[in-house]
Amino acid sequence: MTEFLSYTIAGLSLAAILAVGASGLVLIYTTTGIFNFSQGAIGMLGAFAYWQLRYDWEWPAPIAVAVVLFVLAPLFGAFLEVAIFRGLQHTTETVKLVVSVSLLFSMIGIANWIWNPNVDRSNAKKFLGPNIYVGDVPITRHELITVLVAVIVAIGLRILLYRTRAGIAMRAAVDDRPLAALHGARPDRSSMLAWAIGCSLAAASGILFVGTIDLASGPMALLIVNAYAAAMIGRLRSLPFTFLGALVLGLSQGYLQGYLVVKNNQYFDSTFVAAVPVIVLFVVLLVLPSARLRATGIARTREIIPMPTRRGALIFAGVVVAGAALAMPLLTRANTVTAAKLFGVGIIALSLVPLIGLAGQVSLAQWSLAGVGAVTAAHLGAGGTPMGLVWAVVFSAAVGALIALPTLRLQGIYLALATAAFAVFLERWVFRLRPFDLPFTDVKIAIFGTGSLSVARLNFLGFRFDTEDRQLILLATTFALVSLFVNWLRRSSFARRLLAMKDSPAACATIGMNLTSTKLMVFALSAGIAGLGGALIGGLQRTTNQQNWDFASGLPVFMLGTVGGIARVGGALFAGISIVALSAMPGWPLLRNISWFGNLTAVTPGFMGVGLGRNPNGAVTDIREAFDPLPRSRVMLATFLSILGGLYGLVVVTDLGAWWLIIGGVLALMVCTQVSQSLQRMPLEETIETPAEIPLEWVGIDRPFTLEDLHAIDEQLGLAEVR
Amino acid sequence: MRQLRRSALLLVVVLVMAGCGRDDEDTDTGQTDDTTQDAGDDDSTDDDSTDELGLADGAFGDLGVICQPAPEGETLAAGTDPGVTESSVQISTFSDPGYEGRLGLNQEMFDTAEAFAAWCNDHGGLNGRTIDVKLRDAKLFEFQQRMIEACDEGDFFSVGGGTVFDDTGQPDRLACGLPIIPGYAATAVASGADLSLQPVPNPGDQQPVGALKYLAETFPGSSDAVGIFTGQLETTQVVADRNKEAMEQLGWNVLYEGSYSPLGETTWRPFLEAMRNAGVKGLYWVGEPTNLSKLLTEAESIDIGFDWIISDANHYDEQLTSAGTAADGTYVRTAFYPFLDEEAAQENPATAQYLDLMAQYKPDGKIANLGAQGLSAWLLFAKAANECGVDLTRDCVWAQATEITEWTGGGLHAPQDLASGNASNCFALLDASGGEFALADVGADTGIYNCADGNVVDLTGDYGTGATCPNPAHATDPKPSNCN
Amino acid sequence: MALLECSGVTVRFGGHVALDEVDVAAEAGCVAGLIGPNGAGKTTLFNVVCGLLSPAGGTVRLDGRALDSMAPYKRARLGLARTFQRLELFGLLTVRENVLVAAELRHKYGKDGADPRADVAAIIERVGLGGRIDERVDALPTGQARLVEIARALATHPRILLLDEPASGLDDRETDDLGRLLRSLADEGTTILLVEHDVHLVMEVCDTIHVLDFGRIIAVGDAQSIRSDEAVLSAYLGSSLETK
Repeated sequence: MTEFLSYTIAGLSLAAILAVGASGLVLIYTTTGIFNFSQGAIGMLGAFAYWQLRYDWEWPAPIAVAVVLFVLAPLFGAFLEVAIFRGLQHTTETVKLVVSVSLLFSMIGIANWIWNPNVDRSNAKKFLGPNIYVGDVPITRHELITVLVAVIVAIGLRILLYRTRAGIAMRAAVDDRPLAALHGARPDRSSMLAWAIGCSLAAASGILFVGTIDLASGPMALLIVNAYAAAMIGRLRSLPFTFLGALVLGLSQGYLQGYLVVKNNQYFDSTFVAAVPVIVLFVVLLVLPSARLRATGIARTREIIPMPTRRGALIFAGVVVAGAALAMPLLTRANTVTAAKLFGVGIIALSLVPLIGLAGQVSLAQWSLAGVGAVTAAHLGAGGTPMGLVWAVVFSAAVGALIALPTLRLQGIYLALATAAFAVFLERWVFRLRPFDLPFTDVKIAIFGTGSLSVARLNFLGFRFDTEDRQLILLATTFALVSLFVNWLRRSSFARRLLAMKDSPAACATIGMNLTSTKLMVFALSAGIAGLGGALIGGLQRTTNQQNWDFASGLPVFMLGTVGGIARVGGALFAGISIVALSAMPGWPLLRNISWFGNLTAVTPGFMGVGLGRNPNGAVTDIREAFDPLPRSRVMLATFLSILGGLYGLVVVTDLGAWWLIIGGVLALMVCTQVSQSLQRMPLEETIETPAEIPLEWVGIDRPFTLEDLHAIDEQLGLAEVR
Repeated sequence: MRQLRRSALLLVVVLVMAGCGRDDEDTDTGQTDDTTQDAGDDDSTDDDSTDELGLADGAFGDLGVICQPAPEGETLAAGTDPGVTESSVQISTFSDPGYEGRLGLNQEMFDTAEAFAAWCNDHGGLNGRTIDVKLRDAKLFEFQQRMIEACDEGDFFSVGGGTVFDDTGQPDRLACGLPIIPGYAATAVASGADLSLQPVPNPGDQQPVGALKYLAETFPGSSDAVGIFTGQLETTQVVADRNKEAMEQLGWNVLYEGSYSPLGETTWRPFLEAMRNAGVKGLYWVGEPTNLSKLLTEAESIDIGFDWIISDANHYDEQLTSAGTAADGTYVRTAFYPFLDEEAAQENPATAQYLDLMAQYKPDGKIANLGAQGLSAWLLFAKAANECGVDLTRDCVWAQATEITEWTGGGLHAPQDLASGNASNCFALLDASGGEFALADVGADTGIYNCADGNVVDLTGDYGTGATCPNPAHATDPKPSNCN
Repeated sequence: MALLECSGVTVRFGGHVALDEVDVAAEAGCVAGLIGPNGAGKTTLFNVVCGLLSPAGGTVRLDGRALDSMAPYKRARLGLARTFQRLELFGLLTVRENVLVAAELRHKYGKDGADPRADVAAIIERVGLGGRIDERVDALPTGQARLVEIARALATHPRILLLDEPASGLDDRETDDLGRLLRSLADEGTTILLVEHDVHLVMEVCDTIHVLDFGRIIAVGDAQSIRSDEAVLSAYLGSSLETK
């Protein structure tokens, strides 16, 4: 009985923290429609700010807490709303998701920049004080405060939402923004308020973690995943149910750790208990009575899905392979590995093109599926047999279908969360499983062996891809082939079906499309591609281990793939280049001595993602357009190619560094583009962009908004009827 | 605005592509002092008793002179093995300080490498060849690339480093026959690999149990009620498994096995309560000091205490003692003479010299467990290289190093038998009670160490195997030249 | 026997009864109208018929076969097609592609040898969008977008076509064209169930008319009898007829 009481107290205090964190999520989601993935990171920043005031500057605890909760956090929240999220109202779910995920990474980077991770912060303690006792079971001061905070938050939110004007306006904004606006409410102000309070709640949960978990930016920012299930039990709407969810989660953690884990069971040990919150999240998402196929009308977004030409696809693939082959002699062996890895990551990013770009099904589990491919290749690809790759594709495709099957009904953020839950489930439990006996058999399974597995490099019909150069060619060629496949797919009737499904599942069903099989197919297909990428990366590294395939490690692929333009293969290449290069850059000759450069590259992907909100079609579209004039002028194209060829020859023959090729090449590219643009302009004076011709989606970016633009946008969005 | 964005993107692309180019300069070295090798600077001779020689003589601890100019009358020539020129020898050290998630991670290994090389070069280098240190930053995920660079840029040896994911580069290392004397090895693939010599051996089939035996004797009855608690990472879980097997061989009774999330736990109470409920008296903790300190604090605040808690040498860190009185009864097993307390360190000449070395040559460098381990690796390498004279080859250094049967790092740590590669019987225990590390009285028979027979048991379980040389000749005649 | 037969269909949303024992029948080759004020339950009935909504009670039969819990796509493959009042077009696709998606599906499950692309061009020409065939549909005005929906539905070669306010957003001339199209479809044997606010269109093309009010059928009959039905006049048509 004593221990039961003790588990209960532990569970309650955990529940209290989860409740505070989750209620911030719910508040922001209901008011603004943004599921804030960076909620945990905001809490982390709150905890660090508290540490700064309380322990570094030695302010009294109550003042430090008050300044963080009532000044810094709300200001920060309001700033986020105005600077970033206000602009996202009419973008796709994917864009909203990418922006908040990116913000998560930016904040981790910023925290590491401000607060050197190597400084010992173990002086940060919990709220200390004498215990109170129930019987002989102690309740610590910290636990008491934690539970009290949750109670105060619950009461405070109730009063705010039901008794104050601002709160009622917030609830109105939930149901129908334009309508609320018509009735004199100011949805923007409500959103700002929601963000301010949401950040304050996040900071509160962050401060309550101080002293219990290490003040480390990354782990703290990711802990919030455990609170997602609570928010989801509240269906992202109901605060009372969110609190109930937190209670269920907190207590289950307490009881399971206490009663389940005593002697290590080979399946259900502490790692399983750690996975319980995401299992709950997954299950809740499945049983959630969310909308069936609904006719919702078209959500107009600024999305453009390009249609690559056959020629363009071939040129892209050709340039990739040729580029890799030409770069090979200029690269050191180590840089060859880096370059090859770029294509491996690129293949995983390609898996997102059909899934997210075409079908609009956001999956955050692709990286974990790549891990499944790597593990499969390690176990079944002994000696480098191509069957290893085949099995990797087949097995990850099967796991992908396994995810798709229960999540078929889910859309948008719900699907993203379900796939995230699956990925974290793999990371926390499946990938961490100790060697175990397959039930009902004598087979012993050691998923990651004793920590890492060796992966044989491909041996294709006796041709061994055993050197780094061959690996580079293998990965680049595979990337090129997969990109051709994806581009071919884009032109197929299957792609049309996917795009149709993305826009209106209801209409698809009524013209005879089997949504179930269509979704299963696209999930399996893209999982297979991801698995192939994972298997190839494994072969390149020759080994693979648990930490390679963490949920968080995969987020940048999703993030930067979307930044590059998730509907085209160029976006995948962009993701590969950015991820690999940003991590390699701080070590480069000119940059090595800039001490803050590492910090800069750490925050860059995040900022790139946040910038996506301004350009949902991806950076690759921009880059391509910028150089569009060049191929249209044969003369200039020839000039450019010959300059490039000349430089290349020079670099190969002489001792000139590869640097010169790149710098010279880019300069030549820019100059030639500019010249060909001028050449093309001359006879056609009227093609010069005038402000009036700016497409609607660029208004506000290329020139300031005017009243007319607003009307035009309302018209496009069909809001005119409402007003 | 649009143009601006394009230019910015372009800049990124330029930088990206530029970085893939060949680095013609030294990519990875931190600048080592290229000091002149003025023989007159160092007038020690071989007749002097080694005990009286110090850092100023190119000597360390009881090792005697290990860094000195070329012997008179000898001329230096470029070696046959990679990295050996007529004036220098190129050595790499691996670590992860560039990992963006935690810039500066294990920086102490680089600090030690730089300090050691600067000191050694100050005293003439390795028989007249200066040590040219290449600091190779694996940034957690790029060990393989750095290893390939080490191979391609012709490192002679890799000394005094370690990386968290050190399984990735092992096949590449062995493919170029690069021997390594690591400061630490994380995975079984690395620690059991061919051409890898740890100054404090940690073989896969042996487990030191001296400290456990001491605790069982000091706290009667505690061995019948033991708990094992570890981080949810395969690398730490393997260590926990090994300890469990060792405990079972000793006839102990393991009542509780749990693990915590490496991200940290939001509450430790259920774990602690479950341990108490199971009747755990002694706890073996495999993890890192920050989380142990949190666990101890929580245990104290809910009135839970154990007879003892023991953890491994990586817990010799102020993060642990920050728990204050909550750390009562917490022990850290170590092979090193304690160095964190500067005054106490003076009592052991080698340890005092470690601190002096760092103070002189890397004043802002970090004094830490991995630094001390790295230093032992450097000393071992320098000692062996010194023995080889002017004809520096991998085979010679390897042979010299692997024939040492009693290696103490000049007195930094308990004696280790490198020739057999067996785990050492010797151990010392640090008691963290009251928030301060103090040596526990473990019935020392050799200095501060207890080196009784039976302090090591043989394991039978499978805890992973090391990477092997591609050339089968190495299996019968293990030396660097037979590896690839 | 009627091709489509809804009997006793009941739908509740919480406590609100949206459809109360509704019986609607559409004879093969005829145009059946379904009219009623806003919120009468017309679209809800469509959703039940095509399977997007499960009724609390009642049955839908197609050609005598009970559809019950059959998935929407299977109903579509039996020859049931519809358009939506709130447009459900594939906004990222062109007019041609919108229709092609349906035609290709039909080609696959119908296993007939017809070339879907030729079929698509003909259908688009028939609904009068030939000139805008390669435009993205989210750039079209509402009226024309409705025609795309009709074209898409026709591409499945339906036996019965459910049209949800196809004429809203069309001008008079376009409405006339639509009327002619519907008649000619019916003459070719396609059964049509039409929900429409434009009473003139309904009166003109429908063979039978069902009047729905507050979830109940209050009258069934041909145009003439509906025009003179007392209940209909008082419930709904009175004002409307007079103003027109």
